[in-house]
Amino acid sequence: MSKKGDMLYAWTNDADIKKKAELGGAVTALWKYALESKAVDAVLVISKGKDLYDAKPTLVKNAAELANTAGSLHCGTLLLPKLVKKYLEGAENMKLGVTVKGCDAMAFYELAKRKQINLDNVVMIGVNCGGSVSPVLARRMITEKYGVDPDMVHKEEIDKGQFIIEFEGGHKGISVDELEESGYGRRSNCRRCKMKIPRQADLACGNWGVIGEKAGKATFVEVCSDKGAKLVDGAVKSGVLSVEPSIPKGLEIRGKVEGAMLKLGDKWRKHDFEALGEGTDRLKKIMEETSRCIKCYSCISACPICYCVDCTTKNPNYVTPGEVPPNFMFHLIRFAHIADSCVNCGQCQELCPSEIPNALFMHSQQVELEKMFNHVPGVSMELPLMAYAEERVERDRLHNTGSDMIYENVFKPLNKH
Amino acid sequence: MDFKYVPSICPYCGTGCGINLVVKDGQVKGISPWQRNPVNEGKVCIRGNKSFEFVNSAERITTPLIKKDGKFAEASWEDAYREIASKLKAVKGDEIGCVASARTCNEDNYVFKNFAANVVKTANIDYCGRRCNADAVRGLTEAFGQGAMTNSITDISAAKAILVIGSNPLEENPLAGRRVIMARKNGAKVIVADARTSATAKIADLHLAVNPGTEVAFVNGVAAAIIKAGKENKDFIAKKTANFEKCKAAVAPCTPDAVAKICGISAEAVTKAAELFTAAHPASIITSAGAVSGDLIRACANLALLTGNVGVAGAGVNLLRGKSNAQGAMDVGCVPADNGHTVPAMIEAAAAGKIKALYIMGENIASAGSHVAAVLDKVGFLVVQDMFMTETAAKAHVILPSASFAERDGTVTNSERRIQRVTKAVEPAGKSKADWQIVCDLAKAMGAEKDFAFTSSEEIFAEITKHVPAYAGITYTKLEAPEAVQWPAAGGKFGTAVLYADKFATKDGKGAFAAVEYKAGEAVSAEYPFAVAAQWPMGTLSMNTPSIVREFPEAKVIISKADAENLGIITGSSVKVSGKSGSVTLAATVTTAIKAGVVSLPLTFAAAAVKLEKTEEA
Ligand SMILES: Cc1cc2nc3c(=O)[nH]c(=O)nc-3n(C[C@H](O)[C@H](O)[C@H](O)COP(=O)(O)OP(=O)(O)OC[C@H]3O[C@@H](n4cnc5c(N)ncnc54)[C@H](O)[C@@H]3O)c2cc1C
Ligand code: SF4
Ligand code: SF4
Ligand code: SF4
Ligand code: SF4
Repeated sequence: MSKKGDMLYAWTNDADIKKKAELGGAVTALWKYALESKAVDAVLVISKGKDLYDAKPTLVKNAAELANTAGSLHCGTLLLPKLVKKYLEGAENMKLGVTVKGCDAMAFYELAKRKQINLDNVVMIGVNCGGSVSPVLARRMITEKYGVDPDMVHKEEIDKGQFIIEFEGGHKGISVDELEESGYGRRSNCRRCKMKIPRQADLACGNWGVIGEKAGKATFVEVCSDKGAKLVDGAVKSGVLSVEPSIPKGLEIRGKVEGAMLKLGDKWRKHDFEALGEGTDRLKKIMEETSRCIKCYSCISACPICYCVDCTTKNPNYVTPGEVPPNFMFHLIRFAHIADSCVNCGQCQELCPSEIPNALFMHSQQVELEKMFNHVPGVSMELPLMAYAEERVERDRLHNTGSDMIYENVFKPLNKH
Repeated sequence: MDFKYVPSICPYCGTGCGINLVVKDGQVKGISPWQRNPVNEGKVCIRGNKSFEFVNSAERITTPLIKKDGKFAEASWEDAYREIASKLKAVKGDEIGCVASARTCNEDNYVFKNFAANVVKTANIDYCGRRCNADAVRGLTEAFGQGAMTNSITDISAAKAILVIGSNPLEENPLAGRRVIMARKNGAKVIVADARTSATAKIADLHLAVNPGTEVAFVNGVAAAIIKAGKENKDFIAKKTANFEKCKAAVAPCTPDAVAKICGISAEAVTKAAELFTAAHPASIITSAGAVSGDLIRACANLALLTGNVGVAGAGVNLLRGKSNAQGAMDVGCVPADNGHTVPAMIEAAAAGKIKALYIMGENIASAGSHVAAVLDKVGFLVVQDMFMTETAAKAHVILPSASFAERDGTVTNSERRIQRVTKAVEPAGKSKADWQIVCDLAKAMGAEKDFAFTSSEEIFAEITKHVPAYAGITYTKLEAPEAVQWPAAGGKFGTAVLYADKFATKDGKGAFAAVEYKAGEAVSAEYPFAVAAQWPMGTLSMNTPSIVREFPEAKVIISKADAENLGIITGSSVKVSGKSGSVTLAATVTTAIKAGVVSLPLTFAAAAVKLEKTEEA
């Protein structure tokens, strides 16, 4: 019997899964068991689309289809929780298993505390995450830095600080540091990310710490909740998964690697935030960059913190419809509503057609707000100030005062009768 | 529950961004980024972001309609075909006009072209492209050999200098505009010539508020200044071009002083633009809807040839197209031969009673203005194939309902000659059908079974590749890769990113300079004191997309703050705009982002000079 806190090596006994899996195939084997035992109605995972650079969310209900979804796609920069909210009714009406990276796990919590997702119906298997690379950039990197045709590559991985590709006729690794110095490598939010082992999921799986004869053949599994423990026990009992306790030396190595990654995250934070300057310098920079905005609404569509039905950026009193670029208020509204809870998932930056480093701006503010208010986003169900009121209820309340303008309601300007 | 992503291409502009259609239980529920597409890397503008909305619109036409006593009645496909067949057979071929579409797929346009030529036997085939730069495309063919953007959207980011003229990519083709932003981040100098301080002008290093309609004079002036400074690329001119002397003579009168006067800018600005454009290599020229006449594109081509800016990444003359398949409709041949009419000529002929029937696929030509709408009211027989009850469709005798891009397979060709797959994600709304299918079924109903026996869009594409040389060798299988193929296919694994790397595709292999003279258009006068800058119009798709209508609920007349103050106009005022050909009353938007003396009006208001009067509020 396993329990919360256990550190295990796990591997699958299913031949199909083993063939496709990244390591021990534990994640996929656990999903197989979850589906077969009806612990979940469906699992939402990432699988290969047109090629290995094309990560595609896939909803699987039939356990036999799972093997195709095993393996890690390091160009998978997607964020799944917002899809669960938008298209799967926030898991309100079905039990859902989801493989999550750190940013996914954090986004799940933020959406759940705003009542947009029912976490009781979600099982999360986390994967450790060293970072992801945008697909088109990855292809250019492989062409230019590796001198290899990206279509010849059949496997890519990040291991021991290197981005490694296997291709027809060989393999080649280049250190992530070197790649990032020349403008390639992980997304900028990933460089700053410090959610390396997503312990707020039910299980956290990875390769760090798998040493000895199991190296490369087993998945390191940290059991993070009772739900997770139950899932592991069930899978073992059904025969699809085998586990053994991790080697103490392995655990120690895992801790060291995690520590090193967190340090690296701090280094990048310092680097990125210092470059932004402080106070009015920072504000100026933000205003200058955001002045290119074309109001595509992608940053809003993709952000896991944005959920309002009546988005304030669409209030013509604040932002004139049709005006491009919109006035700075458009961005101020986002800052005001989101900054305390930004999970640095990078979506608003990766998807910005105007090349505005939105995630950097928001993350830099989140870090400051965390210092002031001690609110840590994405790790618990604790509410930040902005999430205390429910959108509909609060808008209705404001509306009943005769105005939905917060300024007028709070400050009651004199000339208003 | 069925849930899946289906990669497709944004149906709006000629940038051709990749998107993922999110399909749940047989319905398109939204769009999600498709990061793997090389054109846009998952990013989209508001139109792409909301491109699923019109698919599910309750306004979709879902059944064939036949007009009886001035009212539309639902009909079966068979009845609709029978009605059309009998009416079209009653008129002679050259009395029929066929209008193809810049927003339907290549396959649709190809069978439509064959329908015109072989079933109703008319030479009168054209596509909306008169407004979407058909003349500019011809200009490019004459100058360089191929009628398309010389370079790729991606390689604009490699430019070291960029001249944007007759175009506002940040708002009109935003994901091409993104490449301008990227170039600038890499140190490129950006020059924007526009009477409006457009979103693109706002990021420029040098913004020149040239008067509308004087763009040719400006480009000639830049060319003249370059020649005067001896900065022309003599080696390139000698080895790769013809007729330089003609161009040199033609631009000679465009001295900085002369240009300053015509364009309403300073003489220094002209020399400064010439300096910036020649200071670094490669330099790119971007133009689009503003290049209507063909003259501007030749002037731009001259400038590119003069500075050796053709055949390398980051250079070229880059004509951004308005609609998703403006390039493809032309590639597959939906343009009139010498004995056929263009769309404007068809309208004229119809007005004169010489065209008696029109078959229009996926275009709302009535939006071109009241004169066109009036002619459509009178034409003997009008067939319109569309998704929505457009102004044009409302005038039809028979309406054939088209499937949307999400409901069918096909290919579209973006501005940079990239032929991309549109993939069927859901079943067509109601009884609607893919445009190619409708055309083929109608052809069969008119007795042309053999040549229209296609059972899939792929079969039609295979046929296209046999008849369109640039498409030779391309298959649906090759288009499976997200890179797809940029024609001509022979250029490499994914086709040709940059045209003319070795030589031009003209007969003599040389880039052809042309003598392009600036011809003054209708000038402002005491009676009509304001020059008009055309606004990007709302198309059929936008008008049926609530999120876009919310941003642009109605056409506006945009007036400078200075002029508005003189006339007592404020934002929201009702303003009567009159030109020689008529008048219209619009709400005003007052802004500092337009030059005094210039107003911006919807493209459909055909006048170059107008007067403004504040009217009583309605
Ligand atoms: C982008 C990324 C970076 C990673 N970096 C590290 C690291 O630095 N250190 C470390 O110890 N482990 C890392 N991992 C985790 C590791 O690669 C394995 O996923 C994990 O050990 C589980 O192995 P397995 O054989 O049990 O999984 P499998 O049975 O092969 O299942 C893998 C699961 O991951 C899902 N998946 C694949 N790509 C993505 C994606 N882009 N986003 C979300 N889910 C995805 C699949 O759908 C599947 O459910 C990373 C994973 C990803 C996706
Ligand atoms: S933000 Fe963090 S968890 Fe998310 S992909 Fe980047 S590194 Fe991984
Ligand atoms: S603001 Fe940007 S980085 Fe932060 S949570 Fe939202 S999308 Fe992610
Ligand atoms: S994604 Fe970028 S361009 Fe689009 S609305 Fe957000 S900031 Fe503006
Ligand atoms: S730039 Fe054009 S193709 Fe791209 S999303 Fe916008 S409208 Fe669609």
